[in-house]
Amino acid sequence: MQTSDLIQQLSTQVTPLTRQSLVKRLLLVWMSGVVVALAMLLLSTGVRGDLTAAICTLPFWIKWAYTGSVMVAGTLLTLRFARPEYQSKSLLWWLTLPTSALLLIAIFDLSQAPAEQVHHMWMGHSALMCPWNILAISLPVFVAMMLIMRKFAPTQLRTAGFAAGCLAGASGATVYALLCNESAAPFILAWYSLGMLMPGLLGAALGPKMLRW
Amino acid sequence: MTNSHHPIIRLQCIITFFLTDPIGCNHYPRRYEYLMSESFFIAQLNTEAELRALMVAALQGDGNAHHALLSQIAVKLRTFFGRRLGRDAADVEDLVQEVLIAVHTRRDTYDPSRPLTSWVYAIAHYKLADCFRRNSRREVVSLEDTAELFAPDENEQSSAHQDVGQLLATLPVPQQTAIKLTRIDGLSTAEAAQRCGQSESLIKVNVHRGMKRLMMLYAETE
Repeated sequence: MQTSDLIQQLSTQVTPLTRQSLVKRLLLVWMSGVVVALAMLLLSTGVRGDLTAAICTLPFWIKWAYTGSVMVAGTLLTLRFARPEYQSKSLLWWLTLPTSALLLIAIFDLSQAPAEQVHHMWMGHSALMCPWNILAISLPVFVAMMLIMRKFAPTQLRTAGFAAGCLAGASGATVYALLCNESAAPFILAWYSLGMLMPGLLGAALGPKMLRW
Repeated sequence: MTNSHHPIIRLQCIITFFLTDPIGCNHYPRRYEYLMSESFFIAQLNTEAELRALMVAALQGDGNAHHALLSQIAVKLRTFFGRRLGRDAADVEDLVQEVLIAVHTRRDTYDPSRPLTSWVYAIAHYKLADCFRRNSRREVVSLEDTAELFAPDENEQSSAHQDVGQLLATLPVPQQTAIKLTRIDGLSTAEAAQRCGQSESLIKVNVHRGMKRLMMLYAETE
Protein backbone atom coordinates (compact mmCIF):
# COMPACT_ATOMS: atom_id res chain seq x y z
CA MET A 1 0.00 0.00 0.00
CA GLN A 2 1.27 3.46 -0.81
CA THR A 3 2.21 5.56 2.16
CA SER A 4 0.04 8.40 0.95
CA ASP A 5 -2.96 6.07 0.85
CA LEU A 6 -2.13 4.86 4.33
CA ILE A 7 -1.99 8.42 5.62
CA GLN A 8 -5.30 9.11 3.93
CA GLN A 9 -6.84 6.10 5.61
CA LEU A 10 -5.45 6.89 9.03
CA SER A 11 -6.69 10.47 8.85
CA THR A 12 -10.25 9.24 8.61
CA GLN A 13 -9.95 7.31 11.86
CA VAL A 14 -9.25 10.25 14.12
CA THR A 15 -11.27 10.01 17.31
CA PRO A 16 -10.81 12.79 19.86
CA LEU A 17 -8.57 11.91 22.77
CA THR A 18 -7.97 13.75 26.00
CA ARG A 19 -4.88 13.84 28.16
CA GLN A 20 -6.54 11.35 30.47
CA SER A 21 -7.29 8.75 27.81
CA LEU A 22 -4.21 6.75 28.63
CA VAL A 23 -4.92 6.77 32.35
CA LYS A 24 -8.56 5.83 31.83
CA ARG A 25 -7.69 2.91 29.59
CA LEU A 26 -5.15 1.61 32.04
CA LEU A 27 -7.46 1.94 35.04
CA LEU A 28 -10.34 0.29 33.22
CA VAL A 29 -8.28 -2.74 32.33
CA TRP A 30 -6.72 -2.81 35.77
CA MET A 31 -10.14 -2.71 37.39
CA SER A 32 -11.37 -5.66 35.34
CA GLY A 33 -8.32 -7.61 36.44
CA VAL A 34 -9.04 -6.79 40.08
CA VAL A 35 -12.69 -7.80 39.71
CA VAL A 36 -11.61 -11.18 38.31
CA ALA A 37 -9.12 -11.62 41.14
CA LEU A 38 -11.77 -10.76 43.69
CA ALA A 39 -14.18 -13.21 42.11
CA MET A 40 -11.48 -15.87 42.22
CA LEU A 41 -11.04 -15.24 45.92
CA LEU A 42 -14.72 -15.24 46.75
CA LEU A 43 -15.40 -18.38 44.77
CA SER A 44 -12.51 -20.35 46.20
CA THR A 45 -11.86 -19.65 49.84
CA GLY A 46 -14.04 -16.64 50.53
CA VAL A 47 -12.93 -13.86 52.81
CA ARG A 48 -11.73 -14.19 56.38
CA GLY A 49 -14.46 -15.04 58.85
CA ASP A 50 -13.84 -12.06 61.10
CA LEU A 51 -13.65 -9.52 58.30
CA THR A 52 -16.32 -7.23 59.70
CA ALA A 53 -14.49 -7.14 63.02
CA ALA A 54 -11.06 -6.82 61.42
CA ILE A 55 -12.10 -3.76 59.43
CA CYS A 56 -12.36 -1.88 62.72
CA THR A 57 -8.76 -2.67 63.71
CA LEU A 58 -5.70 -0.63 62.86
CA PRO A 59 -3.49 -3.45 61.53
CA PHE A 60 -6.00 -4.16 58.76
CA TRP A 61 -5.77 -0.59 57.54
CA ILE A 62 -2.01 -0.55 57.84
CA LYS A 63 -2.00 -3.54 55.50
CA TRP A 64 -4.29 -1.80 53.06
CA ALA A 65 -2.41 1.47 53.34
CA TYR A 66 0.79 -0.37 52.49
CA THR A 67 -0.53 -2.34 49.54
CA GLY A 68 -2.58 0.67 48.42
CA SER A 69 0.42 2.98 48.32
CA VAL A 70 2.46 0.43 46.40
CA MET A 71 -0.47 0.24 43.99
CA VAL A 72 -0.42 4.01 43.53
CA ALA A 73 3.33 4.02 42.97
CA GLY A 74 2.97 1.09 40.58
CA THR A 75 0.28 2.85 38.59
CA LEU A 76 2.33 6.03 38.24
CA LEU A 77 5.36 4.05 37.13
CA THR A 78 3.39 1.92 34.69
CA LEU A 79 1.98 5.06 33.10
CA ARG A 80 5.46 6.53 32.80
CA PHE A 81 6.97 3.49 31.21
CA ALA A 82 4.01 3.06 28.89
CA ARG A 83 5.38 6.05 26.98
CA PRO A 84 8.17 5.57 24.45
CA GLU A 85 10.56 8.30 25.59
CA TYR A 86 13.50 7.23 27.68
CA GLN A 87 12.94 7.49 31.44
CA SER A 88 15.48 6.81 34.11
CA LYS A 89 15.17 3.47 35.82
CA SER A 90 15.85 5.17 39.12
CA LEU A 91 12.16 6.15 39.12
CA LEU A 92 11.57 2.59 40.29
CA TRP A 93 12.81 3.66 43.71
CA TRP A 94 9.39 5.22 44.27
CA LEU A 95 8.22 1.71 45.01
CA THR A 96 10.42 1.58 48.08
CA LEU A 97 8.81 4.57 49.79
CA PRO A 98 5.86 2.67 51.30
CA THR A 99 8.23 -0.12 52.29
CA SER A 100 10.45 2.30 54.18
CA ALA A 101 7.45 3.66 56.06
CA LEU A 102 6.35 0.16 56.97
CA LEU A 103 9.90 -0.66 58.01
CA LEU A 104 9.78 2.13 60.58
CA ILE A 105 6.48 0.82 61.93
CA ALA A 106 7.88 -2.70 62.09
CA ILE A 107 11.00 -1.55 63.92
CA PHE A 108 8.85 0.28 66.43
CA ASP A 109 6.57 -2.72 66.97
CA LEU A 110 9.48 -5.11 67.37
CA SER A 111 11.10 -2.86 69.92
CA GLN A 112 7.91 -2.86 71.97
CA ALA A 113 7.28 -6.59 71.77
CA PRO A 114 8.41 -9.18 74.33
CA ALA A 115 11.19 -11.47 73.08
CA GLU A 116 9.12 -14.66 72.79
CA GLN A 117 6.67 -12.97 70.44
CA VAL A 118 9.25 -11.72 67.97
CA HIS A 119 9.47 -14.94 66.02
CA HIS A 120 5.71 -15.12 65.71
CA MET A 121 5.60 -11.50 64.55
CA TRP A 122 7.89 -12.34 61.70
CA MET A 123 6.56 -15.72 60.69
CA GLY A 124 2.91 -15.71 61.75
CA HIS A 125 1.34 -18.98 60.78
CA SER A 126 1.30 -18.66 57.02
CA ALA A 127 4.64 -17.10 56.16
CA LEU A 128 5.69 -19.53 53.47
CA MET A 129 2.33 -19.70 51.76
CA CYS A 130 1.63 -15.99 51.80
CA PRO A 131 3.82 -14.78 48.90
CA TRP A 132 2.60 -17.60 46.67
CA ASN A 133 -1.01 -16.84 47.49
CA ILE A 134 -0.46 -13.21 46.60
CA LEU A 135 1.22 -14.23 43.35
CA ALA A 136 -1.71 -16.47 42.49
CA ILE A 137 -4.34 -13.84 43.24
CA SER A 138 -2.47 -11.20 41.26
CA LEU A 139 -2.34 -13.33 38.09
CA PRO A 140 -5.57 -12.02 36.53
CA VAL A 141 -4.37 -8.46 37.05
CA PHE A 142 -0.94 -9.41 35.75
CA VAL A 143 -2.37 -10.84 32.55
CA ALA A 144 -4.60 -7.80 32.08
CA MET A 145 -1.62 -5.48 32.56
CA MET A 146 0.55 -7.36 30.08
CA LEU A 147 -2.21 -7.24 27.50
CA ILE A 148 -2.88 -3.53 27.84
CA MET A 149 0.79 -2.55 27.89
CA ARG A 150 1.15 -4.02 24.43
CA LYS A 151 -1.38 -1.47 23.25
CA PHE A 152 0.68 1.35 24.65
CA ALA A 153 4.22 2.21 23.56
CA PRO A 154 6.75 1.00 26.11
CA THR A 155 10.33 0.99 24.87
CA GLN A 156 12.08 -0.07 28.05
CA LEU A 157 10.39 -3.43 28.08
CA ARG A 158 11.97 -4.98 31.12
CA THR A 159 11.35 -1.93 33.30
CA ALA A 160 7.79 -1.54 32.03
CA GLY A 161 7.17 -5.21 32.74
CA PHE A 162 8.52 -4.79 36.24
CA ALA A 163 6.35 -1.77 36.97
CA ALA A 164 3.22 -3.44 35.60
CA GLY A 165 4.04 -6.62 37.53
CA CYS A 166 4.46 -4.72 40.77
CA LEU A 167 1.13 -3.02 40.19
CA ALA A 168 -0.44 -6.44 39.67
CA GLY A 169 1.27 -7.76 42.79
CA ALA A 170 0.08 -4.85 44.91
CA SER A 171 -3.46 -5.33 43.61
CA GLY A 172 -3.29 -9.02 44.42
CA ALA A 173 -1.98 -8.25 47.89
CA THR A 174 -4.84 -5.81 48.50
CA VAL A 175 -7.38 -8.45 47.54
CA TYR A 176 -5.53 -11.06 49.56
CA ALA A 177 -5.73 -8.87 52.65
CA LEU A 178 -9.44 -9.68 52.70
CA LEU A 179 -8.55 -13.30 53.38
CA CYS A 180 -5.31 -13.18 55.31
CA ASN A 181 -5.63 -12.73 59.06
CA GLU A 182 -2.02 -11.91 59.84
CA SER A 183 -1.60 -8.50 61.33
CA ALA A 184 1.97 -8.04 62.55
CA ALA A 185 3.90 -5.30 60.76
CA PRO A 186 7.10 -7.37 60.39
CA PHE A 187 5.09 -10.13 58.75
CA ILE A 188 3.54 -7.71 56.29
CA LEU A 189 6.90 -6.13 55.62
CA ALA A 190 8.58 -9.42 54.85
CA TRP A 191 5.97 -11.57 53.18
CA TYR A 192 3.61 -9.14 51.53
CA SER A 193 6.56 -7.29 50.06
CA LEU A 194 7.91 -10.53 48.69
CA GLY A 195 4.49 -11.40 47.34
CA MET A 196 4.28 -8.05 45.56
CA LEU A 197 7.80 -8.30 44.23
CA MET A 198 7.34 -11.69 42.66
CA PRO A 199 4.87 -10.61 39.96
CA GLY A 200 7.18 -7.64 39.38
CA LEU A 201 10.09 -9.93 38.69
CA LEU A 202 7.88 -12.09 36.53
CA GLY A 203 6.91 -9.00 34.57
CA ALA A 204 10.55 -8.02 34.17
CA ALA A 205 11.36 -11.50 32.89
CA LEU A 206 8.45 -11.67 30.47
CA GLY A 207 8.50 -8.00 29.46
CA PRO A 208 10.89 -8.24 26.51
CA LYS A 209 8.82 -11.04 25.04
CA MET A 210 5.25 -10.14 25.91
CA LEU A 211 5.31 -6.38 25.58
CA ARG A 212 6.58 -6.06 22.02
CA TRP A 213 4.41 -3.99 19.71
CA MET B 1 41.81 5.59 9.03
CA THR B 2 42.06 3.69 12.26
CA ASN B 3 40.63 6.42 14.48
CA SER B 4 38.17 4.58 16.72
CA HIS B 5 35.85 7.54 16.87
CA HIS B 6 35.40 7.70 13.14
CA PRO B 7 31.66 8.11 12.53
CA ILE B 8 31.48 4.98 10.42
CA ILE B 9 33.08 2.80 13.07
CA ARG B 10 30.90 4.41 15.68
CA LEU B 11 27.79 3.62 13.69
CA GLN B 12 28.89 0.03 13.35
CA CYS B 13 29.43 -0.11 17.09
CA ILE B 14 25.93 1.20 17.69
CA ILE B 15 24.42 -1.32 15.32
CA THR B 16 26.50 -4.19 16.68
CA PHE B 17 25.36 -3.14 20.14
CA PHE B 18 21.75 -3.68 19.03
CA LEU B 19 22.48 -7.00 17.41
CA THR B 20 24.74 -8.63 19.97
CA ASP B 21 22.25 -7.98 22.67
CA PRO B 22 22.61 -11.17 24.68
CA ILE B 23 20.27 -10.34 27.54
CA GLY B 24 17.76 -8.73 25.23
CA CYS B 25 16.98 -6.08 27.77
CA ASN B 26 18.23 -2.93 26.20
CA HIS B 27 17.16 -2.09 22.70
CA TYR B 28 17.84 1.49 23.47
CA PRO B 29 21.24 3.02 22.78
CA ARG B 30 23.40 4.37 25.52
CA ARG B 31 22.27 7.84 26.40
CA TYR B 32 24.98 9.87 24.74
CA GLU B 33 24.68 8.08 21.42
CA TYR B 34 20.92 8.62 21.68
CA LEU B 35 21.37 12.32 22.07
CA MET B 36 23.88 12.79 19.30
CA SER B 37 21.90 10.84 16.73
CA GLU B 38 18.67 12.48 17.83
CA SER B 39 20.01 15.96 17.23
CA PHE B 40 20.46 15.19 13.56
CA PHE B 41 16.92 13.95 13.36
CA ILE B 42 15.36 16.79 15.27
CA ALA B 43 16.97 19.59 13.19
CA GLN B 44 14.89 22.62 13.93
CA LEU B 45 13.02 23.58 17.07
CA ASN B 46 10.40 25.52 15.14
CA THR B 47 9.50 22.30 13.36
CA GLU B 48 8.72 21.01 16.84
CA ALA B 49 6.30 23.86 17.50
CA GLU B 50 4.59 23.35 14.16
CA LEU B 51 4.25 19.60 14.54
CA ARG B 52 3.04 19.90 18.09
CA ALA B 53 0.28 22.30 17.06
CA LEU B 54 -0.82 19.77 14.44
CA MET B 55 -0.73 16.96 16.97
CA VAL B 56 -2.79 18.89 19.51
CA ALA B 57 -5.39 19.59 16.82
CA ALA B 58 -5.34 15.97 15.72
CA LEU B 59 -5.85 14.78 19.30
CA GLN B 60 -8.98 16.89 19.39
CA GLY B 61 -10.28 15.09 16.31
CA ASP B 62 -9.13 17.24 13.41
CA GLY B 63 -8.60 14.84 10.51
CA ASN B 64 -6.85 17.37 8.30
CA ALA B 65 -4.34 18.25 10.96
CA HIS B 66 -3.67 14.57 11.44
CA HIS B 67 -3.13 14.15 7.72
CA ALA B 68 -0.69 17.05 7.63
CA LEU B 69 1.09 15.77 10.71
CA LEU B 70 1.56 12.28 9.35
CA SER B 71 2.73 13.59 5.97
CA GLN B 72 5.34 15.82 7.53
CA ILE B 73 6.53 13.11 9.87
CA ALA B 74 6.73 10.68 6.96
CA VAL B 75 9.17 12.94 5.15
CA LYS B 76 11.45 13.18 8.16
CA LEU B 77 11.22 9.46 8.79
CA ARG B 78 12.17 8.64 5.26
CA THR B 79 15.37 10.64 5.60
CA PHE B 80 16.08 9.20 9.01
CA PHE B 81 15.62 5.59 8.00
CA GLY B 82 17.11 6.11 4.57
CA ARG B 83 20.36 7.12 6.22
CA ARG B 84 20.43 4.15 8.50
CA LEU B 85 19.24 1.39 6.20
CA GLY B 86 21.48 2.16 3.24
CA ARG B 87 18.59 3.35 1.08
CA ASP B 88 17.12 -0.12 0.70
CA ALA B 89 13.88 1.38 -0.57
CA ALA B 90 11.42 -1.38 0.30
CA ASP B 91 12.62 -1.70 3.89
CA VAL B 92 12.65 2.05 4.41
CA GLU B 93 9.11 2.53 3.18
CA ASP B 94 7.86 -0.42 5.25
CA LEU B 95 9.46 1.03 8.33
CA VAL B 96 8.04 4.48 7.64
CA GLN B 97 4.57 2.98 7.36
CA GLU B 98 5.04 0.96 10.54
CA VAL B 99 6.03 4.06 12.45
CA LEU B 100 3.12 6.07 11.02
CA ILE B 101 0.71 3.37 12.10
CA ALA B 102 2.28 3.29 15.55
CA VAL B 103 2.14 7.09 15.82
CA HIS B 104 -1.53 6.91 14.91
CA THR B 105 -2.68 4.00 17.05
CA ARG B 106 -0.64 4.94 20.09
CA ARG B 107 -1.12 8.67 19.98
CA ASP B 108 -2.62 8.53 23.46
CA THR B 109 0.87 7.83 24.82
CA TYR B 110 1.96 11.31 23.75
CA ASP B 111 2.19 13.72 26.66
CA PRO B 112 1.44 17.24 25.34
CA SER B 113 3.71 18.81 27.93
CA ARG B 114 6.72 17.13 26.33
CA PRO B 115 8.35 17.59 22.93
CA LEU B 116 6.59 15.83 20.08
CA THR B 117 9.78 15.20 18.13
CA SER B 118 11.35 13.18 20.94
CA TRP B 119 8.18 11.13 21.18
CA VAL B 120 8.20 10.37 17.46
CA TYR B 121 11.93 9.76 17.56
CA ALA B 122 11.51 7.29 20.41
CA ILE B 123 8.95 5.33 18.42
CA ALA B 124 11.06 5.48 15.25
CA HIS B 125 14.08 4.31 17.14
CA TYR B 126 12.22 1.43 18.75
CA LYS B 127 10.91 0.27 15.38
CA LEU B 128 14.37 0.54 13.85
CA ALA B 129 15.93 -1.56 16.59
CA ASP B 130 13.12 -4.06 16.13
CA CYS B 131 13.81 -4.18 12.40
CA PHE B 132 17.48 -4.90 12.97
CA ARG B 133 16.62 -7.50 15.55
CA ARG B 134 14.16 -9.27 13.27
CA ASN B 135 16.37 -9.27 10.25
CA SER B 136 19.52 -10.09 12.19
CA ARG B 137 21.53 -8.01 9.81
CA ARG B 138 24.95 -9.14 10.77
CA GLU B 139 26.62 -7.63 7.75
CA VAL B 140 25.44 -4.27 9.03
CA VAL B 141 25.92 -1.65 6.34
CA SER B 142 28.80 -1.68 3.87
CA LEU B 143 31.39 1.08 4.05
CA GLU B 144 30.41 2.67 0.74
CA ASP B 145 26.83 3.06 1.91
CA THR B 146 27.71 4.41 5.33
CA ALA B 147 29.63 7.25 3.71
CA GLU B 148 26.24 8.43 2.46
CA LEU B 149 24.71 8.29 5.92
CA PHE B 150 26.86 11.13 7.08
CA ALA B 151 26.66 13.03 3.81
CA PRO B 152 26.19 16.64 4.75
CA ASP B 153 22.62 17.77 4.31
CA GLU B 154 23.20 21.49 4.38
CA ASN B 155 20.08 22.69 6.17
CA GLU B 156 19.76 19.90 8.69
CA GLN B 157 23.46 19.82 9.47
CA SER B 158 23.84 23.52 10.22
CA SER B 159 20.67 23.93 12.23
CA ALA B 160 21.42 20.76 14.13
CA HIS B 161 24.79 22.26 14.97
CA GLN B 162 23.04 25.40 16.13
CA ASP B 163 20.77 23.57 18.56
CA VAL B 164 23.52 21.35 19.85
CA GLY B 165 25.72 24.41 20.15
CA GLN B 166 23.10 26.20 22.24
CA LEU B 167 22.64 23.28 24.60
CA LEU B 168 26.37 22.65 24.74
CA ALA B 169 26.97 26.24 25.75
CA THR B 170 24.98 25.66 28.92
CA LEU B 171 27.37 22.99 30.13
CA PRO B 172 30.38 23.62 32.33
CA VAL B 173 33.48 24.36 30.26
CA PRO B 174 35.40 21.09 30.86
CA GLN B 175 32.41 19.00 29.80
CA GLN B 176 31.77 21.27 26.82
CA THR B 177 35.33 20.95 25.57
CA ALA B 178 35.43 17.21 26.10
CA ILE B 179 32.23 16.65 24.13
CA LYS B 180 33.19 19.06 21.38
CA LEU B 181 36.57 17.42 20.84
CA THR B 182 35.49 13.79 21.01
CA ARG B 183 32.01 13.83 19.53
CA ILE B 184 31.89 16.76 17.14
CA ASP B 185 35.48 17.15 15.97
CA GLY B 186 35.89 13.39 16.01
CA LEU B 187 39.12 13.14 17.96
CA SER B 188 39.96 10.03 19.93
CA THR B 189 40.00 10.19 23.72
CA ALA B 190 43.80 10.08 23.69
CA GLU B 191 44.06 12.98 21.26
CA ALA B 192 41.54 15.03 23.19
CA ALA B 193 43.37 14.29 26.42
CA GLN B 194 46.60 15.47 24.88
CA ARG B 195 44.99 18.61 23.49
CA CYS B 196 43.49 19.57 26.87
CA GLY B 197 46.40 18.42 28.97
CA GLN B 198 44.14 16.13 31.01
CA SER B 199 44.04 12.39 31.60
CA GLU B 200 41.98 10.16 29.33
CA SER B 201 39.73 9.00 32.14
CA LEU B 202 38.94 12.61 33.02
CA ILE B 203 37.91 13.25 29.42
CA LYS B 204 35.69 10.18 29.47
CA VAL B 205 34.06 11.23 32.73
CA ASN B 206 33.41 14.72 31.38
CA VAL B 207 31.94 13.38 28.17
CA HIS B 208 29.68 11.01 30.06
CA ARG B 209 28.44 13.60 32.51
CA GLY B 210 28.01 16.21 29.82
CA MET B 211 25.96 13.87 27.66
CA LYS B 212 23.82 12.93 30.60
CA ARG B 213 23.09 16.55 31.32
CA LEU B 214 22.47 17.37 27.68
CA MET B 215 19.95 14.62 27.48
CA MET B 216 18.12 15.84 30.58
CA LEU B 217 18.20 19.42 29.28
CA TYR B 218 16.85 18.35 25.97
CA ALA B 219 14.04 16.39 27.56
CA GLU B 220 13.10 19.40 29.68
CA THR B 221 13.09 22.02 26.94
CA GLU B 222 9.69 22.86 25.58
